[in-house]
Amino acid sequence: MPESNHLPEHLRARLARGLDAVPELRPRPEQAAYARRRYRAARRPALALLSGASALIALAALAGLASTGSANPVVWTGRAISEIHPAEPTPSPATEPTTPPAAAPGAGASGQQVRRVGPTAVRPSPPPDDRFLPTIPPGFLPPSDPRLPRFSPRPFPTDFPFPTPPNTSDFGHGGR
Amino acid sequence: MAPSDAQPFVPGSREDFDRLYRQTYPRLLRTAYGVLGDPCSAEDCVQEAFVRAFEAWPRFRPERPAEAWLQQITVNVAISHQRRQRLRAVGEVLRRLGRPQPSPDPAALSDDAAVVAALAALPPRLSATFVLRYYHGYTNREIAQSLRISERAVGLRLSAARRQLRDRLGEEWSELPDQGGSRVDRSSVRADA
Repeated sequence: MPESNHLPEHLRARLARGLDAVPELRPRPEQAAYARRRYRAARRPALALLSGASALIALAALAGLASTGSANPVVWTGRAISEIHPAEPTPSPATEPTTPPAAAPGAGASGQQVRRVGPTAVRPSPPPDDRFLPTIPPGFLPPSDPRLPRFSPRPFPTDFPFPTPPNTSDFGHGGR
Repeated sequence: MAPSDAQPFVPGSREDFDRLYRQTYPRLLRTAYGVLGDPCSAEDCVQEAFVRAFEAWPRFRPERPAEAWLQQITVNVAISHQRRQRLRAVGEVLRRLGRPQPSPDPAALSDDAAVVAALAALPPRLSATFVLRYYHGYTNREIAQSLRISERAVGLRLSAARRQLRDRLGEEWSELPDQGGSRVDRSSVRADA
């Protein structure tokens, strides 16, 4: 029994007798509650697995957002598919088969205008954008595909990665 | 010093925790019994306290006395248990729509049982401090470290517990001193004032 701390002896004894009256069973660790609650420890690996899966999903979402710039998972899927199976290059217009000469004038495929070039031949009109290309002196023309859009030469830094937009004042005079 | 502190414990060791359980269970049971006044509730509280201690066992700091750490957990569990018991009692009263059961007359109980009943009727923080001080023999400083309170707060709690025990148990307990029970305690209380 611990030493008295200046409590009158008879009162300390009454206190001790009162508290010692509680039935004291021999403590057995194998029967303790902490030994029987094993499910708490088993939950931890499952929780760790769940948190790891959540972290992986979050990382995949961030990667998709960074690569596509879109928060739509459908876009991510499309991008992934295009990376795995790149689309076949579209054939150039020069290699496209021309429309059969027997096509009646005025009749054409959807989205295409038919105009008379000669007395009998029918040629599809060029894309509408080509009609509004600015006219550039030959000295300024780069040695490239004439169908590519042409931009007037402007002073810009050599390391500027993107071409400057065309001068709007040059539009509207196509076909000259 | 409590026998459980003689040989150091290794945090996280299952064997050491079992040894701690065997060594400290009786003392913790009496602490809980002094707070709650019911042996069954006291046993439930001690078991719950050991469950919490087992979960925190890997993080236990060996430089701290293990029994004091368990006493703190036991007191907290007993306080929560008593709070829930009182809420349940209030719910029972509302359901029965009758007068609450009166507390047992101390005169009808044996002297020893009356002491326990009077202790259980105190606020749990007061009864826990009283049991740690006058039954287990902890000093005010050790109680303060165990319960994470100041020594002055320990002295105030002991004074309040003694005053209420005098009111409940009668003239016999009027022999209790008004202030701290030892010279050491008085100086420690004055040092904090």
